[in-house]
Amino acid sequence: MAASANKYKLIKKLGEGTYAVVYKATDAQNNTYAVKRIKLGEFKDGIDISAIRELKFLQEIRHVNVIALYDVYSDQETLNLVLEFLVSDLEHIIQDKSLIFQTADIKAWMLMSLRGLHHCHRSYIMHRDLKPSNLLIAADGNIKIADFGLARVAAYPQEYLTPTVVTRWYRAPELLLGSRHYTESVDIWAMGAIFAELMLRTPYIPGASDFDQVELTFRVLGTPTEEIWPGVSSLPLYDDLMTKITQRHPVPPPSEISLRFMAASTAALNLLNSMLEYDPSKRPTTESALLSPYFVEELPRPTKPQNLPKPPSFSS
Amino acid sequence: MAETEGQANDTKDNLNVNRFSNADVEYEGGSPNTNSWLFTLDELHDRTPSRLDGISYEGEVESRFKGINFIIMAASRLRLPHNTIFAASCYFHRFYIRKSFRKYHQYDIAATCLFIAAKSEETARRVKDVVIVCAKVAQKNDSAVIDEQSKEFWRWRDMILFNELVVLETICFDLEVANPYDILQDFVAELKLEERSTDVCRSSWKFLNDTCRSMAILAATPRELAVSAIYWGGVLLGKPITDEPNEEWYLNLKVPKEKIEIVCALMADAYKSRTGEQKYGTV
Repeated sequence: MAASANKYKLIKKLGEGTYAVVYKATDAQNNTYAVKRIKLGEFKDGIDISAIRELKFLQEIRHVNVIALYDVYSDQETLNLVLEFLVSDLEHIIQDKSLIFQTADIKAWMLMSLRGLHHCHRSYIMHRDLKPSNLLIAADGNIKIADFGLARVAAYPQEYLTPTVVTRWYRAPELLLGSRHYTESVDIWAMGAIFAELMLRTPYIPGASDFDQVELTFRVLGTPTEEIWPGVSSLPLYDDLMTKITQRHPVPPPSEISLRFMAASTAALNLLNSMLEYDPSKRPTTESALLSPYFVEELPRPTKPQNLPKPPSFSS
Repeated sequence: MAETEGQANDTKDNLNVNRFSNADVEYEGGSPNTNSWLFTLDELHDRTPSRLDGISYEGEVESRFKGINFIIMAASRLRLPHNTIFAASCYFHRFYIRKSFRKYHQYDIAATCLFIAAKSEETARRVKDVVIVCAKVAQKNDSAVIDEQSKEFWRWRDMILFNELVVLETICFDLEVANPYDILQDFVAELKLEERSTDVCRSSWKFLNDTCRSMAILAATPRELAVSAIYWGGVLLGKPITDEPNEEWYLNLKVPKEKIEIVCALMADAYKSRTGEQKYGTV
């Protein structure tokens, strides 16, 4: 462990999370980093499990589309992760209305995100918190998946998992219905919701509460039945939620979905619809998504990372 | 003390423990860092911090055995699965490849490693529960009264929370451990061993459990441990692993005979140190 506390100089605070504060930092060679500073001694059960997960997974995964962990050091009060410094994130880009997205731009962001996610999944790691603000953007335009505080190793079939993962708007229906046995396909759903958001420039299913998220999902994509999603009625919260939800929505026909996404091609819509399948086993894997006609056949080809839209404040 | 520390640091360099940011170490699959936690027999025999600190090889093997026994006993009382035990054992053995038993007591580090492994393997236990179990196991008395009123409780709690960072730092924050049990199961299926002899399967599994107690974890990859376990199961019961009794089946699994011999030698060393522990049973 070569690093010591004084190798990195913290310059300014970039943000604050639940268990850590992130600073911009430099070293003696003037390289820029983001230092995630985790306070210790504030949790009665020792170092927060999110920090342990980030340490474990970021040490294991190295991929151009996953944030790089360069170093770790600690002093008496903090544990510090030295991460790649990234200039922006997809949430900022989506919200910056001065930027125009071309079809090819959206394809490039989806391609890079799915490549990073494919690397996670093939290492048996579920991210469990994909959302635009966790898809960071490097100065060269590359997407970097970040924040592995909720990630975990893919479970054995009999293992219990907590359904309270993923930020609400990107939460797959099996999680909303309290499933304790889910797979990497929860990340695919989240990527589907992000795909829709990139095209709409606004969140696709922005529920105001956990309950509202269920209602809204059903309104947008139809109320799931045993027919379209075998096993749905045996999920833990199904009966309870169904008594509260009075209105049943039909599954929207493809023509209606294509009206929502006017600019989307058939290949794009097919991929989107498959990623937002109710039945988790019908969603594509990262591999089949990457090999779908949207990426491998249809034009335009994805924009090169360096040519993607950037906010005016973007400096490299 | 200062001198000890200096020596320990030298050892670390001698033994070429990975540097955190040394990302492009050669590796075959899994974590790029995993293989840099492997050492030669000479290194394990003569150049560990404890050896340089004047502890005999036998003494070190016994302390490691006791520490892992502690982990296994505490883990079973906390109902932790074998993956967690294996990860905790790896952390424990790696810790003492960089620190001396003179400076850190095996039970303190064992308890801390188990606490960390429970988190990293998604089987987290409350610090309170870990503390109570550890205090009881250390006293070799399951009916001891340990609660927030007892001095022992606070001593263990403060010790674990303090050492958590010490251990993490010492093991280079390298928490990813490949699971040899899955690999064993794959090989058992590949060799159709279940149909051949369930006894061999069972002894292989037990052997693999026991590798935790030895320094074999520091000499062989999980894959090599799994193959050695099958080999040992066959030898122990005098049963061939494949139809051809003299077939070197392990070569097909890309594990050389020499590696298996190293694993078995380190296991034998660990078994020899067992005597001192037998009074309190082994779960």
